[in-house]
Amino acid sequence: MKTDKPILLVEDNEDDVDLTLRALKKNKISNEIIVTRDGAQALEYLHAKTADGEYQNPMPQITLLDLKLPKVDGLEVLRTLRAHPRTRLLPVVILTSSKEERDLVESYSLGANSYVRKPVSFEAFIEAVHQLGLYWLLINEQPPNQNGA
Amino acid sequence: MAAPGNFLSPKLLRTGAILTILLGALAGALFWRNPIEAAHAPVATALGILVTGLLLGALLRLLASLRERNANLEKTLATAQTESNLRQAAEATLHKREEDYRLLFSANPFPMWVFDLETLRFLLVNDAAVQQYGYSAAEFSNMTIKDIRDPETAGELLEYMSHARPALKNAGIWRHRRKDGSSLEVEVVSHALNWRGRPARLVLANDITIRRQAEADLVELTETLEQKVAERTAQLTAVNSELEAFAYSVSHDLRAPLRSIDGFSQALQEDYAPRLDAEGQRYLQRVRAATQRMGTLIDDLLGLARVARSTVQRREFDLADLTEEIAGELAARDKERQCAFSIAKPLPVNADPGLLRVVMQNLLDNAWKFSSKKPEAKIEIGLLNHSEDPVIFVRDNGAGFDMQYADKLFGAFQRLHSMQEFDGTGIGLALVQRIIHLHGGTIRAEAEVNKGATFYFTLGGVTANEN
Repeated sequence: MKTDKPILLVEDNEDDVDLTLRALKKNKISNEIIVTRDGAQALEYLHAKTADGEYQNPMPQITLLDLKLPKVDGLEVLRTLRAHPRTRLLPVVILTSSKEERDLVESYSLGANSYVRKPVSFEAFIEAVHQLGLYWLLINEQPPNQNGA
Repeated sequence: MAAPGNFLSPKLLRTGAILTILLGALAGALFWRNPIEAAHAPVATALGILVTGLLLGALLRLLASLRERNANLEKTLATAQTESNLRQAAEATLHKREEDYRLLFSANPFPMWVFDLETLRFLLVNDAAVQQYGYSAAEFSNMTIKDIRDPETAGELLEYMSHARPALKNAGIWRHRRKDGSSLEVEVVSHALNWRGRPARLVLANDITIRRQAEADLVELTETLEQKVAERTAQLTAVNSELEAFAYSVSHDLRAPLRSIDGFSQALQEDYAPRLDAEGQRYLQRVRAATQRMGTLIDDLLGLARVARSTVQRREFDLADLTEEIAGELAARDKERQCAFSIAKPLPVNADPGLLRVVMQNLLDNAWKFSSKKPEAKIEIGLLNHSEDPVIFVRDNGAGFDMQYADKLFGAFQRLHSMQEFDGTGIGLALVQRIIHLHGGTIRAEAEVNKGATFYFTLGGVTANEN
């Protein structure tokens, strides 16, 4: 696929990490996948600076964010990202088990770009990841000035 | 007094005149027989008649006068007797009235007394007061009204008494004290009066202790009730939020392991296919089928829980439009199938469109599913309008069911067909019934094996209580 910017996956469930990686691989998405296991780690990855005041890590092309996370949950991560100048416009796709209405409403209210419910069927999940990759990595044009590496 | 003439009636006068003439003639005849005076006989006779007449007249007059006096005396006597009788009767009546009035006071069921306005001493108390307060009438006569007052309100009383009062006064509610120290609450009405030359008041005291107790009980009961309602509400809210947390957790956590089972089963199928024989592959397939079914079950259950928590937002709309839309989706899903839809139009309803979509989706899914083995499947949606609350029906000519099991139809996870025959989770009709009940309506089914089933439902009309 056209971009080589990393994909940030925020997911605490080991199985889900493996299955997501597998689904990405099956869809031939070759971007580097950064996996963080809780909200705090994700924020650390995105907002940490070096001694020189530079951001430590490259901006991801997209962030796949689970909602139920230890320490700082997904919605809190999203709120913090939207309040921070670097990640204000970062595409965030909520990738979670629930389609509870309050999760949907809260996610969109806080500025999520998409909301994808992980299906039980792995085939359906592969298809969902395929669509996601197609849309966010190929079709969608990134917001400008997102290269604050 | 009657005139004397009244006694000299004409008959008497006539008798007197005849008697006079006869006596006079007799006297004259006597004189006439005397030879010396025979020559004077007519004169003597006339004189005799005259004298006799005068004498007789005087006698008669005296007799009449006597008779008259006697009559007068008798009359006076009778009058005196009558007057005496009248006086006695009047005295009796007066006495009776006094007795009546005295009774009105003494036997009055309400405690009453008269007290001196200056000394505040009891001047008179009735039986009810004696009974109510426990003091004898003699004890009362040595007491003032301060003595039956609750000590706490004695000051108030003096303050109250220091003001001029209108003659009739509703003096309000006071707390009194009995001889035994117990207290009672009384509503007092008083009236000013003059008692044997002294300014006084007549008081009527109505014991309202029981009424006040009832009022207090009512207030307490209301408070208790409110408290209980608040407690129950709190409990319900707690249960509800627990249920919500449960559903939320199920939604997130119960599905995650299923994804793992299905995902890794597929990974096994794909990556380790050469090491698995056909049976191993089939087992894995069954694991995956079961997993996905469990996923569907969880989703349906969550749907049921979501509906239970939802509120009905009614509006008027045509259910036929919605039904046609769903029928169109079904037909598009399986283009091979021959199924004739017959939808009555319009089907005006006043209901929650979102919830009614769930109802019609499930009923039509069922009709579609259970008629799938019929070469000429027919699904009919219509309206029975002959009742106040319109009845909507969904009819198919499919597999139907035995009415013996009709009571199981709307229970969650209840199925009347095997999975081999027709798939399903057994949640659909439970969901439908829940939504109908939320609307205040009813649902029932009529069916016959292999002839089809008809579901009838109402939506509780516009006046149904919405919650």
